[in-house]
Amino acid sequence: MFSPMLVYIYIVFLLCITLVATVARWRRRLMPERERVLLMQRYVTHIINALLEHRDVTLVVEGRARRKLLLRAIYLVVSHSYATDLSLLRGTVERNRLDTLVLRRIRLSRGVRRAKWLLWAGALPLPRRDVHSLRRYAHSGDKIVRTSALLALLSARPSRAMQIIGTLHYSLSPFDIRRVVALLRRGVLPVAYEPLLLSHNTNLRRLGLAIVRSFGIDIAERHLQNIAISARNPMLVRETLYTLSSLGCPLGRAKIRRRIETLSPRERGELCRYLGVEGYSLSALRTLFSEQELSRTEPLISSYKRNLVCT
Amino acid sequence: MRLIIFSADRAAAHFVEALARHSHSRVWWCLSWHHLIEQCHTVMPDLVIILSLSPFIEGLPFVEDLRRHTLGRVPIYVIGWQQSERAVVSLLESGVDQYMTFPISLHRLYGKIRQRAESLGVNV
Repeated sequence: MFSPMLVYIYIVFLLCITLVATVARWRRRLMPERERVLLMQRYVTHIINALLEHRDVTLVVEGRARRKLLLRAIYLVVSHSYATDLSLLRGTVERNRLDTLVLRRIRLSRGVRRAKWLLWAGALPLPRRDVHSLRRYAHSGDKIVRTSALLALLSARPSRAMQIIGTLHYSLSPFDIRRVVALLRRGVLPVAYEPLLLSHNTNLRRLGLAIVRSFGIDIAERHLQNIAISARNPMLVRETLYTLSSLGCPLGRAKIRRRIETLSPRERGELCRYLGVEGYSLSALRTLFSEQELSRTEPLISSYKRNLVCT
Repeated sequence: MRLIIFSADRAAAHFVEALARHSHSRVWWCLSWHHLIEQCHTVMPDLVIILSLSPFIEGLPFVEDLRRHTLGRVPIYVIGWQQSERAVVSLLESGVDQYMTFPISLHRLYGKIRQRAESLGVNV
Protein backbone atom coordinates (compact mmCIF):
# COMPACT_ATOMS: atom_id res chain seq x y z
CA MET A 1 0.00 0.00 0.00
CA PHE A 2 2.75 2.44 0.98
CA SER A 3 5.66 2.74 -1.37
CA PRO A 4 9.14 2.22 0.18
CA MET A 5 10.03 5.79 -0.82
CA LEU A 6 7.23 7.21 1.34
CA VAL A 7 8.35 5.11 4.31
CA TYR A 8 11.94 6.33 3.94
CA ILE A 9 10.79 9.96 3.75
CA TYR A 10 8.64 9.48 6.83
CA ILE A 11 11.57 7.98 8.80
CA VAL A 12 13.95 10.76 7.73
CA PHE A 13 11.32 13.36 8.69
CA LEU A 14 10.96 11.81 12.19
CA LEU A 15 14.74 11.73 12.64
CA CYS A 16 15.02 15.40 11.66
CA ILE A 17 12.27 16.38 14.11
CA THR A 18 14.01 14.40 16.88
CA LEU A 19 17.35 16.01 16.08
CA VAL A 20 15.93 19.54 16.11
CA ALA A 21 14.14 18.90 19.42
CA THR A 22 17.30 17.44 21.01
CA VAL A 23 19.46 20.38 19.95
CA ALA A 24 16.86 22.87 21.21
CA ARG A 25 16.67 21.10 24.56
CA TRP A 26 20.43 20.97 24.83
CA ARG A 27 20.81 24.67 24.07
CA ARG A 28 18.21 25.55 26.67
CA ARG A 29 20.10 23.54 29.31
CA LEU A 30 23.48 24.90 28.41
CA MET A 31 24.59 27.64 30.76
CA PRO A 32 27.27 30.06 29.62
CA GLU A 33 30.62 29.39 31.28
CA ARG A 34 30.85 32.84 32.84
CA GLU A 35 27.42 32.54 34.42
CA ARG A 36 28.35 29.11 35.77
CA VAL A 37 31.55 30.42 37.36
CA LEU A 38 29.76 33.39 38.96
CA LEU A 39 26.96 31.22 40.32
CA MET A 40 29.42 28.68 41.68
CA GLN A 41 31.32 31.46 43.42
CA ARG A 42 28.09 32.84 44.88
CA TYR A 43 26.96 29.46 46.19
CA VAL A 44 30.38 28.64 47.70
CA THR A 45 30.52 32.04 49.39
CA HIS A 46 27.01 31.65 50.78
CA ILE A 47 27.73 28.14 52.12
CA ILE A 48 31.04 29.14 53.70
CA ASN A 49 29.57 32.28 55.33
CA ALA A 50 26.77 30.18 56.81
CA LEU A 51 29.17 27.50 58.10
CA LEU A 52 31.51 30.08 59.63
CA GLU A 53 28.59 31.69 61.47
CA HIS A 54 27.19 28.26 62.37
CA ARG A 55 23.76 28.94 60.90
CA ASP A 56 21.62 26.99 58.41
CA VAL A 57 22.43 27.33 54.75
CA THR A 58 19.31 28.92 53.23
CA LEU A 59 19.98 28.79 49.49
CA VAL A 60 17.03 28.02 47.22
CA VAL A 61 17.67 27.65 43.48
CA GLU A 62 15.51 26.96 40.45
CA GLY A 63 16.26 24.72 37.52
CA ARG A 64 18.22 21.48 37.24
CA ALA A 65 21.42 23.19 36.05
CA ARG A 66 21.51 25.43 39.11
CA ARG A 67 20.65 22.57 41.45
CA LYS A 68 23.55 20.59 39.98
CA LEU A 69 25.82 23.60 40.48
CA LEU A 70 24.69 23.91 44.09
CA LEU A 71 25.46 20.23 44.58
CA ARG A 72 28.95 20.79 43.18
CA ALA A 73 29.44 23.76 45.49
CA ILE A 74 28.44 21.69 48.52
CA TYR A 75 30.80 18.89 47.49
CA LEU A 76 33.63 21.38 46.98
CA VAL A 77 33.25 22.88 50.46
CA VAL A 78 32.75 19.54 52.22
CA SER A 79 35.65 17.78 50.46
CA HIS A 80 38.14 20.60 51.14
CA SER A 81 37.28 21.13 54.81
CA TYR A 82 37.12 19.04 57.96
CA ALA A 83 34.68 18.89 60.83
CA THR A 84 31.96 20.46 58.67
CA ASP A 85 28.58 20.29 60.38
CA LEU A 86 26.48 18.62 57.68
CA SER A 87 23.27 19.23 59.63
CA LEU A 88 23.49 22.90 58.60
CA LEU A 89 23.12 21.78 54.99
CA ARG A 90 20.02 19.68 55.62
CA GLY A 91 17.56 22.51 55.00
CA THR A 92 19.01 23.52 51.66
CA VAL A 93 19.26 19.87 50.54
CA GLU A 94 15.55 19.32 51.30
CA ARG A 95 14.32 22.63 49.88
CA ASN A 96 16.20 22.08 46.62
CA ARG A 97 15.45 18.33 46.49
CA LEU A 98 19.15 17.63 45.97
CA ASP A 99 18.77 14.13 47.44
CA THR A 100 16.15 13.27 44.79
CA LEU A 101 18.33 14.72 42.05
CA VAL A 102 21.45 12.85 43.10
CA LEU A 103 19.73 9.48 43.61
CA ARG A 104 17.99 9.74 40.25
CA ARG A 105 21.23 10.58 38.46
CA ILE A 106 23.02 7.68 40.20
CA ARG A 107 20.31 5.30 38.97
CA LEU A 108 20.33 6.59 35.39
CA SER A 109 24.07 7.00 34.81
CA ARG A 110 26.89 4.50 34.40
CA GLY A 111 30.60 4.22 34.96
CA VAL A 112 32.58 7.30 35.87
CA ARG A 113 29.47 9.53 35.83
CA ARG A 114 27.74 7.27 38.34
CA ALA A 115 30.91 7.32 40.50
CA LYS A 116 30.92 11.14 40.39
CA TRP A 117 27.27 11.32 41.52
CA LEU A 118 27.99 8.82 44.30
CA LEU A 119 30.83 11.00 45.58
CA TRP A 120 28.52 14.02 45.57
CA ALA A 121 25.92 11.98 47.46
CA GLY A 122 28.56 11.32 50.14
CA ALA A 123 28.80 15.06 50.80
CA LEU A 124 25.07 15.40 51.56
CA PRO A 125 23.20 14.62 54.80
CA LEU A 126 20.98 11.86 53.32
CA PRO A 127 18.06 10.19 55.13
CA ARG A 128 18.47 6.52 56.13
CA ARG A 129 16.25 5.10 53.37
CA ASP A 130 18.34 6.83 50.71
CA VAL A 131 21.57 5.52 52.19
CA HIS A 132 20.12 2.02 52.09
CA SER A 133 19.50 2.35 48.35
CA LEU A 134 23.23 3.06 47.79
CA ARG A 135 24.33 -0.25 49.25
CA ARG A 136 23.91 -2.20 46.03
CA TYR A 137 26.45 0.02 44.26
CA ALA A 138 29.10 -1.04 46.79
CA HIS A 139 28.98 -4.49 45.14
CA SER A 140 29.23 -3.19 41.58
CA GLY A 141 31.57 -4.86 39.11
CA ASP A 142 32.95 -1.42 38.22
CA LYS A 143 35.83 -0.65 40.61
CA ILE A 144 35.42 3.12 40.47
CA VAL A 145 31.68 2.90 41.16
CA ARG A 146 32.09 0.52 44.09
CA THR A 147 34.84 2.66 45.66
CA SER A 148 32.70 5.79 45.36
CA ALA A 149 29.70 3.93 46.78
CA LEU A 150 31.83 2.70 49.69
CA LEU A 151 32.95 6.27 50.45
CA ALA A 152 29.34 7.50 50.25
CA LEU A 153 28.19 4.78 52.68
CA LEU A 154 31.04 5.50 55.10
CA SER A 155 30.25 9.25 55.03
CA ALA A 156 26.55 8.60 55.65
CA ARG A 157 26.99 5.94 58.38
CA PRO A 158 30.39 6.51 60.05
CA SER A 159 29.37 4.57 63.17
CA ARG A 160 29.01 1.41 61.05
CA ALA A 161 32.29 1.91 59.17
CA MET A 162 33.94 -1.25 60.55
CA GLN A 163 30.92 -3.36 59.69
CA ILE A 164 30.68 -1.94 56.17
CA ILE A 165 34.38 -2.51 55.42
CA GLY A 166 34.49 -5.84 57.22
CA THR A 167 31.73 -7.32 55.03
CA LEU A 168 33.25 -6.33 51.69
CA HIS A 169 33.73 -9.30 49.39
CA TYR A 170 36.86 -7.88 47.71
CA SER A 171 40.27 -6.63 48.87
CA LEU A 172 40.65 -2.89 49.09
CA SER A 173 43.38 -1.54 46.86
CA PRO A 174 45.97 0.91 48.25
CA PHE A 175 44.11 3.64 46.34
CA ASP A 176 40.80 2.72 48.05
CA ILE A 177 42.44 2.72 51.46
CA ARG A 178 44.00 6.10 50.78
CA ARG A 179 40.57 7.51 49.98
CA VAL A 180 39.10 6.09 53.18
CA VAL A 181 41.95 7.70 55.14
CA ALA A 182 41.06 10.98 53.39
CA LEU A 183 37.60 10.65 55.00
CA LEU A 184 39.31 10.32 58.35
CA ARG A 185 41.22 13.50 57.70
CA ARG A 186 37.89 15.23 57.06
CA GLY A 187 36.74 14.15 60.50
CA VAL A 188 34.03 11.90 59.03
CA LEU A 189 35.42 8.68 60.55
CA PRO A 190 37.06 8.21 63.96
CA VAL A 191 40.82 7.63 64.13
CA ALA A 192 40.45 4.40 66.11
CA TYR A 193 43.34 2.28 64.88
CA GLU A 194 43.49 -0.29 67.67
CA PRO A 195 40.27 -2.27 66.93
CA LEU A 196 41.28 -2.26 63.26
CA LEU A 197 44.76 -3.69 63.95
CA LEU A 198 43.33 -6.33 66.29
CA SER A 199 40.68 -7.41 63.79
CA HIS A 200 41.08 -10.66 61.82
CA ASN A 201 39.71 -9.06 58.67
CA THR A 202 42.50 -8.18 56.20
CA ASN A 203 40.78 -5.04 54.88
CA LEU A 204 40.31 -3.66 58.38
CA ARG A 205 43.88 -4.45 59.35
CA ARG A 206 45.23 -2.77 56.24
CA LEU A 207 43.12 0.27 56.99
CA GLY A 208 44.52 0.28 60.53
CA LEU A 209 48.07 0.16 59.12
CA ALA A 210 47.29 3.04 56.76
CA ILE A 211 45.95 5.11 59.67
CA VAL A 212 49.09 4.44 61.71
CA ARG A 213 51.30 5.42 58.75
CA SER A 214 49.27 8.46 57.86
CA PHE A 215 49.12 9.90 61.36
CA GLY A 216 52.55 8.69 62.51
CA ILE A 217 51.12 6.84 65.54
CA ASP A 218 54.29 5.65 67.32
CA ILE A 219 52.45 3.99 70.18
CA ALA A 220 51.08 1.36 67.80
CA GLU A 221 54.54 -0.21 67.51
CA ARG A 222 53.72 -3.17 69.75
CA HIS A 223 50.63 -4.07 67.67
CA LEU A 224 52.62 -3.74 64.45
CA GLN A 225 55.37 -6.02 65.67
CA ASN A 226 52.77 -8.64 66.65
CA ILE A 227 51.23 -8.49 63.18
CA ALA A 228 54.63 -8.69 61.47
CA ILE A 229 55.51 -11.77 63.52
CA SER A 230 52.20 -13.64 63.53
CA ALA A 231 50.27 -12.69 60.37
CA ARG A 232 49.94 -15.39 57.72
CA ASN A 233 49.09 -13.12 54.80
CA PRO A 234 52.44 -12.22 53.14
CA MET A 235 51.02 -8.96 51.76
CA LEU A 236 49.96 -7.93 55.26
CA VAL A 237 53.40 -8.79 56.65
CA ARG A 238 55.12 -6.68 54.00
CA GLU A 239 52.77 -3.76 54.59
CA THR A 240 53.39 -3.98 58.35
CA LEU A 241 57.15 -3.94 57.82
CA TYR A 242 56.84 -0.84 55.68
CA THR A 243 54.63 0.77 58.32
CA LEU A 244 57.18 0.01 61.04
CA SER A 245 59.86 1.54 58.81
CA SER A 246 57.85 4.69 58.17
CA LEU A 247 57.66 5.19 61.95
CA GLY A 248 61.41 4.67 62.27
CA CYS A 249 60.95 1.67 64.59
CA PRO A 250 63.84 -0.73 65.17
CA LEU A 251 63.60 -3.94 63.15
CA GLY A 252 66.37 -5.85 64.90
CA ARG A 253 64.13 -8.19 66.89
CA ALA A 254 64.95 -11.84 66.04
CA LYS A 255 61.42 -12.81 65.01
CA ILE A 256 61.15 -9.80 62.70
CA ARG A 257 64.54 -10.57 61.15
CA ARG A 258 63.32 -14.10 60.44
CA ARG A 259 60.23 -12.67 58.78
CA ILE A 260 62.34 -10.44 56.58
CA GLU A 261 64.39 -13.49 55.57
CA THR A 262 61.22 -15.14 54.24
CA LEU A 263 60.68 -12.32 51.69
CA SER A 264 61.67 -12.91 48.07
CA PRO A 265 64.97 -11.36 46.86
CA ARG A 266 63.11 -8.67 44.94
CA GLU A 267 61.01 -7.77 47.99
CA ARG A 268 64.11 -7.71 50.18
CA GLY A 269 65.82 -5.35 47.76
CA GLU A 270 62.79 -3.04 47.72
CA LEU A 271 62.60 -3.03 51.53
CA CYS A 272 66.32 -2.36 51.81
CA ARG A 273 66.06 0.67 49.52
CA TYR A 274 62.99 1.91 51.37
CA LEU A 275 64.76 1.66 54.73
CA GLY A 276 67.69 3.59 53.25
CA VAL A 277 65.38 6.41 52.14
CA GLU A 278 63.63 6.43 55.52
CA GLY A 279 66.92 7.21 57.21
CA TYR A 280 68.05 3.88 58.68
CA SER A 281 71.81 3.73 59.13
CA LEU A 282 74.10 1.27 57.38
CA SER A 283 74.87 -0.50 60.65
CA ALA A 284 71.15 -1.07 61.28
CA LEU A 285 70.70 -2.43 57.75
CA ARG A 286 73.72 -4.73 58.03
CA THR A 287 71.84 -6.71 60.72
CA LEU A 288 69.02 -7.38 58.24
CA PHE A 289 70.61 -7.65 54.79
CA SER A 290 73.72 -9.10 53.19
CA GLU A 291 76.55 -6.97 51.79
CA GLN A 292 75.44 -7.75 48.25
CA GLU A 293 71.93 -6.52 48.99
CA LEU A 294 73.36 -3.41 50.63
CA SER A 295 75.58 -2.58 47.68
CA ARG A 296 72.74 -0.79 45.86
CA THR A 297 71.49 1.03 48.95
CA GLU A 298 74.85 2.14 50.32
CA PRO A 299 75.37 4.93 47.72
CA LEU A 300 71.83 6.16 48.42
CA ILE A 301 72.49 6.37 52.15
CA SER A 302 75.87 8.02 51.60
CA SER A 303 74.37 10.69 49.36
CA TYR A 304 71.52 11.29 51.78
CA LYS A 305 73.88 11.67 54.69
CA ARG A 306 76.18 13.87 52.69
CA ASN A 307 73.22 16.24 52.17
CA LEU A 308 72.59 16.35 55.90
CA VAL A 309 76.22 17.23 56.61
CA CYS A 310 76.30 19.95 53.95
CA THR A 311 73.16 21.60 55.31
CA MET B 1 43.55 43.77 53.05
CA ARG B 2 44.76 42.82 49.57
CA LEU B 3 45.05 39.10 49.00
CA ILE B 4 46.24 37.19 45.93
CA ILE B 5 45.38 33.55 45.40
CA PHE B 6 47.53 31.51 43.01
CA SER B 7 45.80 28.34 41.89
CA ALA B 8 45.40 26.34 38.70
CA ASP B 9 42.23 24.86 40.18
CA ARG B 10 39.38 27.36 39.97
CA ALA B 11 37.24 25.38 42.41
CA ALA B 12 39.85 25.42 45.17
CA ALA B 13 40.36 29.15 44.54
CA HIS B 14 36.58 29.70 45.04
CA PHE B 15 36.88 28.02 48.42
CA VAL B 16 39.67 30.24 49.73
CA GLU B 17 38.25 33.34 48.06
CA ALA B 18 34.96 32.89 49.92
CA LEU B 19 36.81 32.73 53.25
CA ALA B 20 38.86 35.79 52.37
CA ARG B 21 35.79 37.80 51.38
CA HIS B 22 34.22 36.95 54.74
CA SER B 23 37.05 39.01 56.25
CA HIS B 24 36.24 41.89 53.85
CA SER B 25 39.52 41.45 51.96
CA ARG B 26 39.95 42.31 48.30
CA VAL B 27 40.88 39.18 46.40
CA TRP B 28 42.62 38.56 43.09
CA TRP B 29 42.96 35.15 41.52
CA CYS B 30 45.95 34.21 39.34
CA LEU B 31 46.07 31.19 37.12
CA SER B 32 49.69 31.41 35.97
CA TRP B 33 53.07 32.41 37.33
CA HIS B 34 53.38 35.41 34.96
CA HIS B 35 49.95 36.67 35.91
CA LEU B 36 50.90 36.35 39.59
CA ILE B 37 54.06 38.46 39.13
CA GLU B 38 52.10 41.05 37.14
CA GLN B 39 49.44 41.26 39.84
CA CYS B 40 52.06 41.54 42.58
CA HIS B 41 53.51 44.60 40.83
CA THR B 42 50.10 46.17 40.37
CA VAL B 43 48.30 45.22 43.57
CA MET B 44 51.15 45.08 46.17
CA PRO B 45 49.38 42.36 48.16
CA ASP B 46 49.37 41.98 51.93
CA LEU B 47 49.11 38.19 51.71
CA VAL B 48 49.70 35.57 49.00
CA ILE B 49 48.03 32.18 49.24
CA ILE B 50 49.24 29.41 46.93
CA LEU B 51 47.05 26.36 46.44
CA SER B 52 49.51 24.14 44.65
CA LEU B 53 52.91 22.58 45.31
CA SER B 54 53.87 22.38 41.65
CA PRO B 55 55.77 25.73 41.55
CA PHE B 56 58.04 24.40 44.32
CA ILE B 57 58.49 20.97 42.81
CA GLU B 58 59.66 22.47 39.52
CA GLY B 59 62.81 23.70 41.28
CA LEU B 60 62.43 27.39 40.52
CA PRO B 61 63.39 30.01 43.17
CA PHE B 62 59.71 30.72 43.50
CA VAL B 63 59.65 32.46 46.85
CA GLU B 64 62.69 34.67 46.15
CA ASP B 65 61.20 35.82 42.84
CA LEU B 66 57.89 36.55 44.47
CA ARG B 67 59.39 38.57 47.30
CA ARG B 68 61.55 40.54 44.85
CA HIS B 69 58.47 41.53 42.86
CA THR B 70 56.35 42.45 45.87
CA LEU B 71 59.10 44.78 47.17
CA GLY B 72 58.65 43.65 50.74
CA ARG B 73 58.26 40.70 53.00
CA VAL B 74 54.74 39.62 52.12
CA PRO B 75 53.67 36.45 53.96
CA ILE B 76 53.24 33.42 51.71
CA TYR B 77 50.86 30.69 52.80
CA VAL B 78 50.69 27.41 50.94
CA ILE B 79 47.77 25.03 51.17
CA GLY B 80 48.12 21.61 49.58
CA TRP B 81 47.18 17.97 49.78
CA GLN B 82 50.72 16.68 50.53
CA GLN B 83 50.99 15.29 54.06
CA SER B 84 54.53 13.94 54.18
CA GLU B 85 57.00 15.43 56.62
CA ARG B 86 59.63 15.75 53.88
CA ALA B 87 57.34 17.92 51.76
CA VAL B 88 56.46 20.17 54.69
CA VAL B 89 60.07 20.66 55.75
CA SER B 90 61.15 21.38 52.15
CA LEU B 91 58.46 24.01 51.77
CA LEU B 92 59.36 25.74 55.01
CA GLU B 93 63.05 25.65 54.06
CA SER B 94 62.27 27.30 50.73
CA GLY B 95 60.86 30.33 52.54
CA VAL B 96 57.15 29.66 52.86
CA ASP B 97 55.69 31.16 56.04
CA GLN B 98 52.88 28.69 56.65
CA TYR B 99 51.94 25.35 55.17
CA MET B 100 48.48 23.97 55.75
CA THR B 101 46.96 20.80 54.38
CA PHE B 102 43.62 20.05 52.83
CA PRO B 103 41.13 19.21 54.21
CA ILE B 104 41.41 22.34 56.26
CA SER B 105 39.32 23.73 59.08
CA LEU B 106 37.28 26.70 57.84
CA HIS B 107 37.70 28.45 61.17
CA ARG B 108 41.45 27.90 61.21
CA LEU B 109 42.05 29.30 57.73
CA TYR B 110 39.68 32.18 58.37
CA GLY B 111 41.53 32.83 61.63
CA LYS B 112 44.89 33.00 59.80
CA ILE B 113 43.56 35.46 57.23
CA ARG B 114 41.91 37.53 59.92
CA GLN B 115 45.09 37.54 62.02
CA ARG B 116 47.05 38.94 59.09
CA ALA B 117 44.38 41.56 58.44
CA GLU B 118 44.39 42.63 62.09
CA SER B 119 48.20 42.85 62.11
CA LEU B 120 47.86 45.45 59.35
CA GLY B 121 45.38 47.41 61.44
CA VAL B 122 42.38 46.42 59.30
CA ASN B 123 39.14 46.16 61.26
CA VAL B 124 37.54 42.77 60.45
